[in-house]
Amino acid sequence: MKRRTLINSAISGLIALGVSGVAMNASAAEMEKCYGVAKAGKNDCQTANSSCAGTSKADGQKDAFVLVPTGSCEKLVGGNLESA
Amino acid sequence: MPGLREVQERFSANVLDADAVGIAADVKAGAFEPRLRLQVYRNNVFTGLTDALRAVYPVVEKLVGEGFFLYASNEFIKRNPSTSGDLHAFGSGFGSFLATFEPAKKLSYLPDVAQLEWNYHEVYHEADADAMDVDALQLIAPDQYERLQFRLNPACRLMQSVFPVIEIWRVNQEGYSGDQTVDLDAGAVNVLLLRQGEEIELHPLDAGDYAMLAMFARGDQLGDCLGAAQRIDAAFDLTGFLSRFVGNRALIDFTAC
Amino acid sequence: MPDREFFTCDPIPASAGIGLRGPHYREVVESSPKVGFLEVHSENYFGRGGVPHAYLERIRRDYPLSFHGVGLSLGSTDPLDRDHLRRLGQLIDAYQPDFVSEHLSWGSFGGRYLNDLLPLPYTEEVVNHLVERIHQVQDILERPIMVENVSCYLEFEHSHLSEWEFVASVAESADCDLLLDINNIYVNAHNHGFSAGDFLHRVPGSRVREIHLAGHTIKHYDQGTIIIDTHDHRVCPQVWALYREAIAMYGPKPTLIEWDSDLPELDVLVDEANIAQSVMQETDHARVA
Repeated sequence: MKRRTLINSAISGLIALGVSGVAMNASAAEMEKCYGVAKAGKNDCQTANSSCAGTSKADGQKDAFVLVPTGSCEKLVGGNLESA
Repeated sequence: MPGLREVQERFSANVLDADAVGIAADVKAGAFEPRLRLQVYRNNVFTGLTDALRAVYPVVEKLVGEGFFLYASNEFIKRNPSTSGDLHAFGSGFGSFLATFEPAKKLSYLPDVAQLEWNYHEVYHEADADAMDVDALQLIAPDQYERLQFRLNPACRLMQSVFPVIEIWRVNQEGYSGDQTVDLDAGAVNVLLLRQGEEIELHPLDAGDYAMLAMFARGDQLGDCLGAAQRIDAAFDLTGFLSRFVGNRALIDFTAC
Repeated sequence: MPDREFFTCDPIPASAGIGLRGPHYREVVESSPKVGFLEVHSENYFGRGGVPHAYLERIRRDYPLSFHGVGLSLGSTDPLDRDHLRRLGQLIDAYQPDFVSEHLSWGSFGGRYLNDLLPLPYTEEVVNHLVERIHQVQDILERPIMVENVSCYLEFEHSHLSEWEFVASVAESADCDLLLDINNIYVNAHNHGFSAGDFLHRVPGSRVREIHLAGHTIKHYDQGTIIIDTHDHRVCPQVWALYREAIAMYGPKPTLIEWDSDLPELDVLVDEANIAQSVMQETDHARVA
């Protein structure tokens, strides 16, 4: 069978490369890389009480909100964005 | 005198909704009215949960702006309670919420961007894994190869989007200074997110590679996976696929059945 | 996460330590600051791997460690979260911390978490509830925990104990040690009009095993001021004075500088820790003399 032959040769190839040979093949592909910067643990928020306590910004009052997106989304062009 | 459970029921209702039939009557006034004292807690709760969302979804925030993000996160917090004392577990449904959030309706790519960011967050905290012991394949009889099940690295996630989400993600990273214009018609993308030590990689995958990995993730056997990949791409290169994805540790183990 | 019992549990000395936060990981590894111990928020390590564990494992080789929980919701009337305790137990097995602590507060009702340290009424009912919960947690973790007094912005009408009576009563009845947060005492003394010094004198000093110090924010309103426990500043002079008083009474204790928002350079935390260290030395000399 063709499929069986393909599989046999692929697995044999993997065995022949061995652990170090396989690792050499890793980095060639096209990709985005991001150092997993040491981010702040989110649970720190649980002890740090907000210094904006008492301000309207954080407590769900509508006047602080913006109902229309205002960020970099305007740079995304094309796409049939209107819902059909 | 109200019992503790009653106090906690009314207090939590009041924190989530200032107008709820509340705990104010049980709070000592002093110089400040109970309503103001409760507002301190309301702010802390909403700010804490919003900050947790903000930390997971920086690209969504950049796309919609701070004020709109605050609006969306407040609505999300009210409708999707946190269910864990660990804030890292909060916010998984933000993408699906955005898909139904009327003010964000025109930003049809936003739920997929959010999904990418949630996957990134999960991969960041997932278990570490060693590379596959390929020498151990020698112990498998060749007539068993078709039934091999390959296991994916726990620190990886697969997703598909009809939008160019990797590009959207890339141009909205902190420190990116180039042109942020993205053509939304640039085409669908299959994504593999994979953490290698401290680095997280976003790989665009062609349809055959994606099908193979998605089927391995489900526990399918090599023969069936290859069949599916060949139906998508008649010239699918299994040898290349295995050396790439064993090599980059997307595949870390196998079982023979 | 490292394998079980890779580390031995070295005791935390009566010295000053700092909170270990993500943005400082790399610098702590590279510069090995001279502090007596490090404390982390347990929940930040509830993930199974990745950057947080990679650093904690390296750092744990060089420092005694304290796990400080923020999300267990000890005072809630919901059942204890078994999954949370299972993960905490795994962390304790892996890293062998000398201290494990939680807060005298609640944060969830009906399965819904507010992820904040919410205040409790100071009543016998609540004391009994906390004692039972502390025992349950200790039984599951198979080790003692310390409990910490929290800052609060309101009091309940039906509280009939003072806060120090409440804290002391929980510690005595549960037979557990206290993590005394001196900034929280100062904040509450201001917000609720009692003497912070009285608080220090009335809690059982022999049960104080660790001290927390932090900075706060004063919010001005038409009616007056409320102090918010923001963990985003240096320790203020009044809190240093209270700390001096506490050390004079209790003797030197492991003392942590807590800083959670607007995190400064690592040097600033180490500098604060050095101040605490010198307060302990001076005060101890005065006691002996």
